[in-house]
Amino acid sequence: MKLAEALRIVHGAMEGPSNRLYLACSFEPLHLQTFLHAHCQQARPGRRLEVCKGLYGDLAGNLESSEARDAEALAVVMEWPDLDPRFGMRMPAVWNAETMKDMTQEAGRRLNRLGAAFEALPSRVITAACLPTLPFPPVAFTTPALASELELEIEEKLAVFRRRIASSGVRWLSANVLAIASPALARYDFKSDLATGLPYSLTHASHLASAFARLLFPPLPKKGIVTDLDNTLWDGIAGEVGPEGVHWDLDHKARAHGLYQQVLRSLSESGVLVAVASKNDPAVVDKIFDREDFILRRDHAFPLEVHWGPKSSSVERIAKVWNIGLDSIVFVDDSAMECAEVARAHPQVECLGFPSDPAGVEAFCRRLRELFGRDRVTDEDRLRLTSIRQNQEWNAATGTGEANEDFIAGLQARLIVDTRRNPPDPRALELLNKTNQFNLNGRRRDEGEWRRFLEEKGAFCWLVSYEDRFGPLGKIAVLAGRHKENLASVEHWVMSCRAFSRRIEFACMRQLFEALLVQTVELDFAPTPRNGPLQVFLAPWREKMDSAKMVVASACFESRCPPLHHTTKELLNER
Amino acid sequence: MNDNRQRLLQCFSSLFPQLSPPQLEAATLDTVANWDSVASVTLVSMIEEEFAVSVNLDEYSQFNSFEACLRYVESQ
Repeated sequence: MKLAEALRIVHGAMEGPSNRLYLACSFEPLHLQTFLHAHCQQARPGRRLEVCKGLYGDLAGNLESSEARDAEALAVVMEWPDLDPRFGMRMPAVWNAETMKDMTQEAGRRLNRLGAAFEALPSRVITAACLPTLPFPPVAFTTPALASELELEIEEKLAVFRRRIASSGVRWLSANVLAIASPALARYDFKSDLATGLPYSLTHASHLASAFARLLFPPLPKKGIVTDLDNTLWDGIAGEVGPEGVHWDLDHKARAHGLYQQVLRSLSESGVLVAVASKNDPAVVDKIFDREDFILRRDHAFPLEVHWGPKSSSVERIAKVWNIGLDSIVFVDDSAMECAEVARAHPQVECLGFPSDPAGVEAFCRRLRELFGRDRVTDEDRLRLTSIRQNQEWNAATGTGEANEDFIAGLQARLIVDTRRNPPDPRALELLNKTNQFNLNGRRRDEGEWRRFLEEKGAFCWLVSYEDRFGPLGKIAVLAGRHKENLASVEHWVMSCRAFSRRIEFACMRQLFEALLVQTVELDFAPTPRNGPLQVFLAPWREKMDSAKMVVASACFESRCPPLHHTTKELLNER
Repeated sequence: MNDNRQRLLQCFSSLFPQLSPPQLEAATLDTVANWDSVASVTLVSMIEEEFAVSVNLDEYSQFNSFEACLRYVESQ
């Protein structure tokens, strides 16, 4: 991004309430602040952003006073002078063996103070940080190619420091990723450092700001990948060479395809849905999936759409089985024609051409990591494909109509209601922000708002897990609101579509009355274009669906509640 | 309008979006209220980036009006 473009984005931001981002550094942020504002504004197009900075020359002090800034997000940019001013180039300093020893000790003291400041940051503030990104200053008497004792000791102190802080939820910028985007020699601008106090070149400032924006306001990860087979998942055309004639290994100069299989397997095992859309002979494909050396196993991919019909239809069917939006899907094919066909039918699908040159596959795999990357892998993620298969079995068992009473009674259904808020389970916010059909009002919360809400007096947040004789569905519902005396006011209620038809929503409603000991539940309902299933559930207690707080009395609920057979367990203790 | 003038106008417009093109072409350090030291440094950085030039530290003070900036750019 050029500086002029960044300024246009900053000046063009909409009016209205703003969220605050605090940039904590000890140098003059200048263009870094502009780029950070622009990149973060692009990452949050619906909300105006305000970026404030701290005092010059005092990173630790800026961190220690960060709570007073009332910021939702915090970007901490460290540079060498923060460890000891003698690492800086603006002011005179003596560089000899004695001062180097003192600089190492001073670095230790300053890192201790910074560590304490990081640990004192409130958990509601989303914090991202980077260690020094500029080349190590030419302090030592060794040639630059030789890592001096000073450099090694400082690196060790920084590694210990970062490990200490990692558990406090700070998002550390990957030095490797920055190295790819911003070459080391092009980062430092000595002229700028002297003239303005900003040590960064414009390109480095932009790349650094872009990386911080991705850390602080990451895009929602994609949920599923639909892959072609011939010359994509393997080298060769299976129908022509047979199941033993396709390859993905080094000996057959096809390792690039093996790498792709390896990444797909890794994605699948971290909860990304993987499916196949291939114009092929199903019998031949079956034999390949049975090969001992096949890296992507059968249980890593579902469903497999292997036939001669259009791939756009396959993608549509896969999206229905997965029950996710087309905008959450990535389609990969070596054929530009197939990609164009799918893109024309489904413009929301992200279509990627599998590189014809093996040299491009490594970068392609990194791109997949960008599209699907997430902070952590939860049990829900690991269960996802299994639970989709279970849903298929459920649908087969119940047929096309509603399940009958005997079937429901025999489910051995169990609910686990996790009411703990500190620290918040990230799955709750994830569900709240991605669920559309069973969603009380369609409202979303960003991470900072959510954390502040959970800290309010009287706030409750229930994360509901479900399992039955078909297996666990994992964490599938969230109810959140405020409890005051005899009233539970529900502001958010979402439930995953794969949990439908099990009367979980009725069990949740009953749990509200029983666990909170209230006679009345108030639901902050609003119709949306997609929350039809929620409206169907509320219909018995509401004559007309419109925006208003619905009040449901316990007796009224029970009079219209179907038989429930769930056992419920509450997890009550604070973590 | 020549290319340099147009490109320089884009730079000035990004920095002073409240000014019209004629006002930008007449802009000086003394006549634009928010043309402060930060704006001066930002302007020089934008010109360096847009025109692939490197401005010496002792030349910064010359960048005190649109026309002065244009003269510099056209002399490179």
